Amino acid sequence: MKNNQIKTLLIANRGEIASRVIKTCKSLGIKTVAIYSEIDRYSLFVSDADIAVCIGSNEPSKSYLDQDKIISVAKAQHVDAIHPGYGFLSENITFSEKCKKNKIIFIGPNSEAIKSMSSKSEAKNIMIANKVPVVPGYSGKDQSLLNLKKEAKKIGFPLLIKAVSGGGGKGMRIVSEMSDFESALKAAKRESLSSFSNDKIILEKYIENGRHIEFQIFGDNYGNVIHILERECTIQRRYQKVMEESPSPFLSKDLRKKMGETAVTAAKSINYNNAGTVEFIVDNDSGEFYFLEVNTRLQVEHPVTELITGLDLVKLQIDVAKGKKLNLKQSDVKSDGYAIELRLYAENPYNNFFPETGTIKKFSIPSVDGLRIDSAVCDNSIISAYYDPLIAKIIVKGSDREEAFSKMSYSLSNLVCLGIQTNQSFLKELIDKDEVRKGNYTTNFIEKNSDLIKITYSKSQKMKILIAGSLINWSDRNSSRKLLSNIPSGWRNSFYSFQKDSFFFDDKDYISSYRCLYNSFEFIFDDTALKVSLININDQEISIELDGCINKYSYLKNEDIILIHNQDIGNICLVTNSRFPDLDTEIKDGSYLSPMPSQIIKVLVKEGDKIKENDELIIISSMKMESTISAHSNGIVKDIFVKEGQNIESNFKLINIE
Amino acid sequence: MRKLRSNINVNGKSFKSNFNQMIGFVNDLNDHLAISREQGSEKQIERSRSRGKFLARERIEFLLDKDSPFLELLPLAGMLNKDGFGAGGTNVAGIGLVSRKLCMINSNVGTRKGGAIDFATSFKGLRIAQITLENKLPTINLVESGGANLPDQDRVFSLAGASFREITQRSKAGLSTISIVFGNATAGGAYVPGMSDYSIFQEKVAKVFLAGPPLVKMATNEISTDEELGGAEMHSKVSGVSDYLAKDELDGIRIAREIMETILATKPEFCPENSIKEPIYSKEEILGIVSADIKKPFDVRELILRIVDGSEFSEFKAEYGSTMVCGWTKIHGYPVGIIANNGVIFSEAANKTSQFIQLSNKNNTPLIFIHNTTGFMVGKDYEQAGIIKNGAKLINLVSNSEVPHISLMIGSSFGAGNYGMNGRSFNPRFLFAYPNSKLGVMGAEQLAGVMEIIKRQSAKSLGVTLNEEKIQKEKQEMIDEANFKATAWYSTSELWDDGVIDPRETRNYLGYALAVVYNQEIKGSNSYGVFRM
Repeated sequence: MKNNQIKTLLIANRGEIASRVIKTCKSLGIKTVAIYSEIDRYSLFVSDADIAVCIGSNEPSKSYLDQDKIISVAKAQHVDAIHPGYGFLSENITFSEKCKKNKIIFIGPNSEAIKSMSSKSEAKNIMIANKVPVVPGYSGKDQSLLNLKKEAKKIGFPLLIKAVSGGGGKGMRIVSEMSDFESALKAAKRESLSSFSNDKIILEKYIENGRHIEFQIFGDNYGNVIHILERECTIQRRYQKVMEESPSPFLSKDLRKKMGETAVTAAKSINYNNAGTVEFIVDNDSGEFYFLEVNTRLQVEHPVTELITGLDLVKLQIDVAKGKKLNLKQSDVKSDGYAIELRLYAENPYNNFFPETGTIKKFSIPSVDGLRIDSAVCDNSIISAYYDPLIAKIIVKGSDREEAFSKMSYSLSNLVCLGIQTNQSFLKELIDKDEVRKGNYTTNFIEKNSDLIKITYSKSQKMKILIAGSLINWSDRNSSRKLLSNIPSGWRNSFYSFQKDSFFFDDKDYISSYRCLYNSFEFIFDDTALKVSLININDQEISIELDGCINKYSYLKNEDIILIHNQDIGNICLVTNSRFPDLDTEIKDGSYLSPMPSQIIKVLVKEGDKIKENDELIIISSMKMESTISAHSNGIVKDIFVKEGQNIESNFKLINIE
Repeated sequence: MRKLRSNINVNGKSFKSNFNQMIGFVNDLNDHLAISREQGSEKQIERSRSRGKFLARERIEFLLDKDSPFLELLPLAGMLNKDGFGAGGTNVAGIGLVSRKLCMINSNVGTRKGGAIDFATSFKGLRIAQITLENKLPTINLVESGGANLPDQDRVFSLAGASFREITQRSKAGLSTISIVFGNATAGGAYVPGMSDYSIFQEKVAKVFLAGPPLVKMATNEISTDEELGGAEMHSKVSGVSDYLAKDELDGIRIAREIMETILATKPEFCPENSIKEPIYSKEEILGIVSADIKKPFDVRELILRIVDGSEFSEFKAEYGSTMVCGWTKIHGYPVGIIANNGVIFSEAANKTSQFIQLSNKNNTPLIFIHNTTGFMVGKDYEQAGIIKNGAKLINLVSNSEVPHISLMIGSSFGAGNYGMNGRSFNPRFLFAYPNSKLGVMGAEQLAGVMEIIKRQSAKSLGVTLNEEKIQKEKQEMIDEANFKATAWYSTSELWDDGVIDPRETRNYLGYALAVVYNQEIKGSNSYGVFRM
């Protein structure tokens, strides 16, 4: 194979990964072409690229998934290679073949490798043939309900249903007993069909105390394959990775060696020739490991490997794609220190991790040695419902695991991301858990630690929140005082009562009582008077002295909504309640609102139906994730305001139950 | 403008002892104010709360803009009336901001004697109406009153009529009145919402009729219910007496605030900048300076430099007629002229002040009169020099000056000195008093002494022998009574002032009053009565 030149490279992706690829290209002197959908016009990755071309409207199918359009842009821009990033077209065989046909280098493995690994059943069968251990289960062709039920019985419960073409937890269900099997199967098939246009599934024994450990593999066009160590991605929620670390705290030297060799065997069995990942599930109790799948692309979590090895995986990808020989032997791969990655998502951990959309009004990164942020956002970036709600990857390196965790914890406390609900506080709580610090966890860690998905504020935190909210509002009002503006705020010649502000947060209403003294404020909480001083405020930051200690808060205020970030409190959204409740618009019980912008997948009830508490009413889908709206009380369906296939905004009235 | 410099030794003995005495007065004031804030018996308050009602003062807090200051007026009116309803009566009144407009607020204390109107309450109402009209303020009434206190009806009857007349006269002058009815407003009380430009009735709670079911039965033998005669819904849907039907108290207050947004405000003539220089000396020191014992003199400039912006004062004719201090300055950024006594008024001092008032009228500058005088100088020389003539000129000017006047009693205010300094009868826009201040025809001892001399002269001419013991007893009784009636507590109870104030808050009171008087165009007078030359 001859050595091809890459002078211009197109990134068939968006967001942080597009920026990530561009960064390496710049270091290699490669001109970059970004493609973008309309809503991404002002995105960071667009401005990072040398050339950016609008590729279509916001729906992925009309932009980032439109292969022909991408190819034609690539040709028009005389592009030598296309980097597909992850997701979108990264594991699409047709696309990689179209590239080849148009003499454009597709940065990824050969299409045969992609093809064989894109089907979970085929991949499994290849591995069995190559003596790679796999999870016991069924990966056969007979997809009839009868047969699947029979196989399910054979495997035993709990078991996993997985879409043959699935990934990222889409089309995946855990079933704990036979009676749930059929409905779970249907849901998995439906999700799989909508995401991957294929509803075939495989069945697997569900390893309850599993750990998810993957190996970075790398191959070239000359049959050289190595592994570049492992990443442990055990902590997941809804089958999506939350935290990735390397080295794995679970692996012994021997096990690492054994699994690494197995990963290389697996890669060699499909003639792997670029960056990829072999995923294993490891039984926490027995230490047995089983092959899960090969991801034939650059992984989201690749920076973890980069930080401990000092390698630039994108550079390696480009080199190999150009036809260069892998100049790295297995013995050259050394790790130094310890790295963790956390994924900052626009989602609500306290409401089933529902994705959130909106605008990030403020994004700022603390300065921490060894901290790497791969992000695609800045102030005023939009997180839309069209794409993955990943805001940033936070990656840190420490000389040991403890140091890495300390740095991560500090970084999370000081990263400011306001304007949208994120999982930042959840991540902070998560990594501060003892068991996580000890490396003592399995894949169901988050489900088992349900306190993580409930937010609780201590009394002193609530006080701080109320004081900050009150003073932010006060200061806003105070700056626009005109008449009597030289009389002290709230002055009374016969003092009677404290001024009261009402706020809503943490699902409750809170009252803050205070008065303005000459140079300070007096706040009252449960009959305790606190002297509070407003040290400094501008339109984004406020410093407040309380108990002789100054606390800093970043904030954003938009009418009655205040977003606050503080080291101790994390991010919080405060709503200032109106002094005069609007009596007409209060939502009556029995109304169900959509929790997020979504599409109506299925309406399971009809008007007049008698329903019981917890009955399923409507299935909605947002960002390809399905969720079910269930009845929270008994009643009769009075009105249904939506129909199947309809796209709705968040807080849209779905159904009315009497 | 030049800064005044203080010559007070704040570590001196007399300063400290005066401070302690004044603190005593301030504590008395705070005790009286605390009593005035009581809103009825626990039982009545409990009952009101159980019906989901807010108390009078809470309603004011809801009505006011957030952070708005509130200047409560006449809080101690009627405090010494033995048969009255206590300090302040059954109405809380004051000036604050509603929807960013200066506004007079009256809130009936429905939990104190059912909000019935005693003499002091109704007298206070008229003074409030006067302040409202003179300063061109809109009014919001928070109504919950059972009407006139029947034992007081003879004294209240005609005053109540005047209060209704005031509402409509204000309306004619373009000053709106908004009334929110939270409960009873019956008989005469029905005319409060009835006369108002805007009326808001609270659903199921407002009860507004001329006569209730028993009286109707007595009068016409008709059987009727409260709701038929005066329910909020009836008045909103049938009679049209109510303009807005409020769902609850907060809704009523919300509607009133909404109306305030829409009504035409008098445009403030002058709105000072925000960056105001504070006085350089501490306001706390006022308590050490202003003599607790009114007989002890002190330099009034020491007070002035603690209440004016940046302690800056441009004194007029400083070397002439030195017992009156006149000068221009600013308080909270508002230009103002100050006329302050520094002892007995001599002819020169009176003449200087007369000139100063004319200049202030030429410059359209409001005036603050700081009272601390035992009156005009008496004696042969002074009478022969025409002290009456010169005093008359001053009173002529004080009476006919058309810039707003504000009076402040800080010590004595006796005799014609009170008139010359714009006492109550000369209608200052606002009049505030320090708790140590005293006023009257003359000091109690002089008064008793004069009475003694007259008695002795009369006895002598009639040839009667006087019982010395009796005469001394009578003299002491007279001193005691005159002393009592000269106190700030008696004055304020009798509504001779608009409030007794903590001297340390003087700057805020004056700044507040100035903001109110500057709420309309200030135009000085060009013509006065005939001056006897």
